[in-house]
Amino acid sequence: MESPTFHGDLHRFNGSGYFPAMDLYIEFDARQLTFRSNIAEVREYVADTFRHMLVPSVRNSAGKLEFNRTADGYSLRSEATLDYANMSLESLIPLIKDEVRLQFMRARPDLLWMHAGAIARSGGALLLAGKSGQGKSTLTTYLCEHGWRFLSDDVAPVRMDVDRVIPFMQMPVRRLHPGREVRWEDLNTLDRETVDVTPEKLCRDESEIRGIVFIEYEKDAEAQLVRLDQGSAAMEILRNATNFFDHRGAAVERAANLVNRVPMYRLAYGLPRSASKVLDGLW
Amino acid sequence: MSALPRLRPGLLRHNLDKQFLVYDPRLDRIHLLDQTTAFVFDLMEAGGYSSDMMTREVAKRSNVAPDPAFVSLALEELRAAGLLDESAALVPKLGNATRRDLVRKLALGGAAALLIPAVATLTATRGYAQSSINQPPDAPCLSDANCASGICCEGRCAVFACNSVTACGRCFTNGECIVGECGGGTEAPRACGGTGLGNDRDKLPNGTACNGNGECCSNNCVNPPGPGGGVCA
Repeated sequence: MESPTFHGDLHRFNGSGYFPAMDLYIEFDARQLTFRSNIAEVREYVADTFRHMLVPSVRNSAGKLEFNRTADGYSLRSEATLDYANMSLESLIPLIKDEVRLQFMRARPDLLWMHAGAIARSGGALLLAGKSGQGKSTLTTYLCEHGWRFLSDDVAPVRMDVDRVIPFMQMPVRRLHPGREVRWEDLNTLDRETVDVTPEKLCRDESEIRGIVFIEYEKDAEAQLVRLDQGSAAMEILRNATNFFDHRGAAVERAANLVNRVPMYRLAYGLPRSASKVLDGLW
Repeated sequence: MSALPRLRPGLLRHNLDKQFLVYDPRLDRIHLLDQTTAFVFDLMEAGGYSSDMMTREVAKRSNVAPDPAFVSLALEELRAAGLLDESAALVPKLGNATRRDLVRKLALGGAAALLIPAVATLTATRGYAQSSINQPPDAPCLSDANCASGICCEGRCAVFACNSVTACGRCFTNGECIVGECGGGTEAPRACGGTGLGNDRDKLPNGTACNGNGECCSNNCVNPPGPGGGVCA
């Protein structure tokens, strides 16, 4: 994995404020997670990945996460402490990013965290959900380059009481297409690139959900958008709910309510630009 | 048809279009009942229907000629999904041949495919599910969500449940082994062992092909070389 690029001095990183070089404060919906590491490369990676979520201080803590180099290897401390010996830093770094997300999920079990990207336009949000490798990040970033604004990549926190999604603006990472068919179990072997979403393309406000699209990549397929019946749509929502067990019966009820109010679709596509044309027509 | 079975208590249902979304809190499963099965479920909840009455009511709601096969198949779908009350007595399973005959009969009678009873079931994943990391076996992990298999044992992605593999059984990471560690090497299949119990984790696990005892973790190659070779056991 390439070393993350680091833009500018950490103390001026998000354009305003000053914060200690050792700690980073990552904010989601007015809760702040403290991240600390004695490894400069890791701090730079986290600062870069969550650059649009950094704040100068903690007002309402969502917990702490530490990742340090030790005499024997590395250790990660969040709810528990895990020690890693005989492992490369490169192999552990993706876990750190995932643990930030998991920390916020533990802090906010009241939300329904969907495995989806989210983009917004004209006051409404569109969620792009689906299994890994179907192109959520690729489509999300492509659409942000063509008129939509970025809310989140990979995870979409949905409120349980109203049809709104909250931004979770970690920098999107998309797989690089190798130009051939790839088996699902080989997805992790593909190279990835972090996509730089600039501030004017961000949507920092929670947004009303106007549609949910469950995407499926099919090589060379012409984009086809099909409206789902309520039953199939509800099952897809629940299949893509990453914290079902925080809600259980309430999640099922939420899915049933959501499909009654929000149109849902299945999109089969081969090229992002053909998918974009189809999605542009939604509203 | 004999007396109708009852639905299991405690099920939660939601009406969607012409389908029912049913949550089973005991098993944490979500079921999507098609229109016909939803009719039968609804009538069972209401209670007071005999088999014949239910057959007529389902036909009326579906706008088709009455046929007891609709109810029989719907009950079988509900039984297979675990939604029937079997506390007093097990509900007999519909044989495959009988099911095929009933479906064929309905189709030949002009019943649309969407009227053939069907239940789709989703089992909720424990813990935090779905992550785009999808780490392969033996890769580092912090939680089950990091692993393609959905199992994280002692900080490494597993294939089998934690602490479930016996000595010389096939393993992918240490945490799967009940005792000992998972063998070295990355190419050949790996075995649990190496605790001085007479097994060698750096040799072949049980169930893999072998040509002699010395190749096996267990030091036991059953049916030594000959046509077909042996298997470590």
